[in-house]
Amino acid sequence: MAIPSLFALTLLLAAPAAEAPDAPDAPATPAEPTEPLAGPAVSTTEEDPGVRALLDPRFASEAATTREPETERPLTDPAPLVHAVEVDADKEPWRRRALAREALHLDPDVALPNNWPIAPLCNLAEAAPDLCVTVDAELFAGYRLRSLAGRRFSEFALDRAELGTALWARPHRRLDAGVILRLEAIRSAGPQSLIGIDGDSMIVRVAQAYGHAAVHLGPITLGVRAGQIAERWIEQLEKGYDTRGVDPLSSDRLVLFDRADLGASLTASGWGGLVELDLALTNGEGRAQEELNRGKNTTALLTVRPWRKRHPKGLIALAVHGLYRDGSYGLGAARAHRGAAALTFASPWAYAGFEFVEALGVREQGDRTARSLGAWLSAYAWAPYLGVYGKYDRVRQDLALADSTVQISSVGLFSDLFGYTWRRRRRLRLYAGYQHEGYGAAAGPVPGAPQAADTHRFLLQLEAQGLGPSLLIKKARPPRSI
Amino acid sequence: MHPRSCAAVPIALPHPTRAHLGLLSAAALLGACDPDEAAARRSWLHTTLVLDNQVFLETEPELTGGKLAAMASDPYAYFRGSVGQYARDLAQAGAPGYLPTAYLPAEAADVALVGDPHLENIGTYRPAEGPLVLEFNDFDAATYGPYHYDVRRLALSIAVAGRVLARSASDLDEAAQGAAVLAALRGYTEEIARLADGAPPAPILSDEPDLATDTILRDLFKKADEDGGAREELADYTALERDPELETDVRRFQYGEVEPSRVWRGGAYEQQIHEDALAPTSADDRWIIGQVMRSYPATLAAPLPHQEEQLAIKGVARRLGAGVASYPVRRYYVLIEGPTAEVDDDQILELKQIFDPMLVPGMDEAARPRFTDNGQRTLTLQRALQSGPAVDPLFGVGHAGGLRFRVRERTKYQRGLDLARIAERLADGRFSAGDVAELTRWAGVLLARSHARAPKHDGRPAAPAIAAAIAADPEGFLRETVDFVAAYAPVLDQDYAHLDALLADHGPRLGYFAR
Repeated sequence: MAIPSLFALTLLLAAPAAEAPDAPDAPATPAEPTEPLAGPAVSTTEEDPGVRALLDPRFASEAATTREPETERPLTDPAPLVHAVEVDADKEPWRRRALAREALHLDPDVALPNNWPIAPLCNLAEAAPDLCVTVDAELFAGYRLRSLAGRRFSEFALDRAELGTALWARPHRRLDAGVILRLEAIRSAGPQSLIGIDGDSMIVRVAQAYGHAAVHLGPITLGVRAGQIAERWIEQLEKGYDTRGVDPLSSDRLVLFDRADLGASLTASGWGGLVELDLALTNGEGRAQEELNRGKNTTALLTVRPWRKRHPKGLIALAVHGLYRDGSYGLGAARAHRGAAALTFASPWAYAGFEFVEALGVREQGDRTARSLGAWLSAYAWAPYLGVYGKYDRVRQDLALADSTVQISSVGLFSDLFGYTWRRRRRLRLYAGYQHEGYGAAAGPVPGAPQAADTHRFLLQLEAQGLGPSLLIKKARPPRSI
Repeated sequence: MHPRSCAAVPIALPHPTRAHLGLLSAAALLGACDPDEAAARRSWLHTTLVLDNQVFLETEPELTGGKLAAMASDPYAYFRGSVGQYARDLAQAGAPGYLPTAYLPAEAADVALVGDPHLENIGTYRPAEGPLVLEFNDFDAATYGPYHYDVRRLALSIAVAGRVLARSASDLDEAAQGAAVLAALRGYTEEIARLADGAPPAPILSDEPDLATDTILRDLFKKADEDGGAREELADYTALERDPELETDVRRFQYGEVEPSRVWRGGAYEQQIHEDALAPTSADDRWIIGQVMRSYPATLAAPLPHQEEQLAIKGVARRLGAGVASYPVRRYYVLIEGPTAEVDDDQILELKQIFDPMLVPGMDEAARPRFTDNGQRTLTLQRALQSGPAVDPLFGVGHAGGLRFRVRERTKYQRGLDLARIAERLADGRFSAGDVAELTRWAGVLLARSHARAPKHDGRPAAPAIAAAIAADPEGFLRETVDFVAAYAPVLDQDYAHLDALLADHGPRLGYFAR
């Protein structure tokens, strides 16, 4: 995959800016990256070093040191994700809009990593119609030295290589719509299998492919998705989990939730994400299978963010999540219910969280109940150059079976090339960590012989991410309506 | 261990004696299940049978229906066709076969496994020189893993076979069935202890003096020798025809049924089950055969004296009705010229498509394969686990695109144990329960020798590691394995009954429709 070049492409993209949602006739424009920000083109942001830092990374350090004590503002505005920016009236309107789109909705002062359905990633003009296209790429790769039951093995591993593109359109000022396509690289043969394509070559498959729409009605936003949609549990929790590049959430690793499934979802988000309710109807077979039974998975997920606070370095948010799923798996319609709860905390300095999942039925084993607990903490010690992380997962594989616990403990350091404010736009992070996987006497593939599965790992892992607007749109002719 | 499946309650046996082993069948009495648990197990079986056979349901739906119906023929047929369910039950928490072992140090967790060692996978071979030899003959599931997976599978096969054979022999009562299981386990543990010094084990030859007391094996060798010598395979599958142009006899495959097929009926469904038949090949089949036959000679253990002439193809056919687990896989017969141009020494090669070995959930890292494809896996492990490459001079593998095929000579010298024949002779008194126990003892010995022969995944010899694992308490290992069999054999009985009901309710394809 052309990950490196895409990543380089996103690094070259202009710095983000903001637009004025309350001034539909005066679309926003970012400063030219090569020009100083002072001057008539940007006035509001000049007073806000945090936002100015966004517009030009040269001001990042200044923003960190000269910012006045933060002001606390309630996050109840349904569209609070942008700052008012005065624009250069001499610029052509279509050019200004293109530049505004280029800025994306990534203001870390207010934005969680993914604000759908409240706002699209692009700074679409309030004066509909408008549209943009974004591209993004993710790469998790590394080197690991493993000792399994005393036998050493080392390898280079590619855990994730994904390329996504999204079309964001605003046909009406109250309606956003679009389509998302994400491709992922996977091994063509399953675990232990020797039947793949040309051995076990990597192939590219569709990870997510869906259409979406969101209607903004006062403080409430209603969103729908249909297609191979993302699993909202993982999507919501990863807003409070910053070290996905080195280790998945416990429920993700165990595939208690598949990252995507065919179906549709309805999301109601109120007061700028204070409360979010997701209802989903999906096949239940995940990415790898068609529907095999008549039953559909019905999921309700509630997310409440009781504490959110603006800070010049980014948003601080505490979220509580609860989920229940009534599901089935396979032709035999094995029970696949889920009950889950989580607490996540995100801030510019640290992330922390706790996840609990009770799986009533695990894949074809409908009568098995498993329980997964995960807790994590990551924090900068010397931002952005040095951070520490720790994670602990505890999985009871079968509640009816004593000592069927698997414990996975991870600790390590990480270092970012870019500061926190750039985390959605560009990230280049290196992890160095240690992980221990320990099995109870009645856990693992060989019950009674936990030593045969006991694993130690040393990891060097690279996380590279890039997100930007499509250059095609940037260079496009102005829409006829403008 | 836990009450997940009502039949999965292991029975504590203080000592593995004949009397205690009578409890093998008593365990079956525990099979009265909670209806919810039975429904969950049935749902599990439905789902896993479809997942394991999905590739066949998509590509060969009719034959897959035949396989699933054939599995419902008797408990042993179900046992043979359900190795995927066995692997899951062995390795998945919450499964009824997920029973612990106290005899597995890490050093014995990466042994070369036969994969599916059961009684009907034992058979004879005729090496290039010397007498017939006894070997396991199916390595489609061979892989690396804990040695006790194989031991438990073999012991389980004997327990299931015992119940099937008991219908034909009054003296094969519960105690005798238990004794047969125990004989195999003792055969294994004593042989592995004998081989603990790492010395290469000897093959089990037909003229081995110790075999003189084994009625069933002597019968097997005798029948193989007779039928092989008579070239019965040529009589079964081919015929001589007069070529009017050449004015000479030529040998050709005879398409049609060698043994009549039967029809399974259940609910509103019926399904034809081939027993032994040859069918013409399609153009795709012939392309595959051509590709395989081109790549196969390079994998022979030793070049044949007149290899090109000997492997010249005279006819091809699709074989139907062979095996249980592999019933729907592509299996071709290729008639080749043989050592000379005479029609009497024509030979038949069997080309059988190979799939993945038994996939053990959770063993992703531990069982990480070291082979690039299933052909290489089968070739390497079969030669390592058998007594030598000369056992079948025509054994090799070939490929056609991404498909891999095992190639072997289809000769009646290669004859497998046949439970139906044993049952027949038990019924007429030619075999006895004691003969069955003697047979199973040799099965245990054979498994021990196979394990001892092949290097482990790490390249070290396996016998010292296995012997060390068992040495401290061999009786405990026997007891543990008997406990496993006592707990799990009734689960197989239940699953067999569930399969019968599923087929009647959903039809021979279990309700799956290829899309």
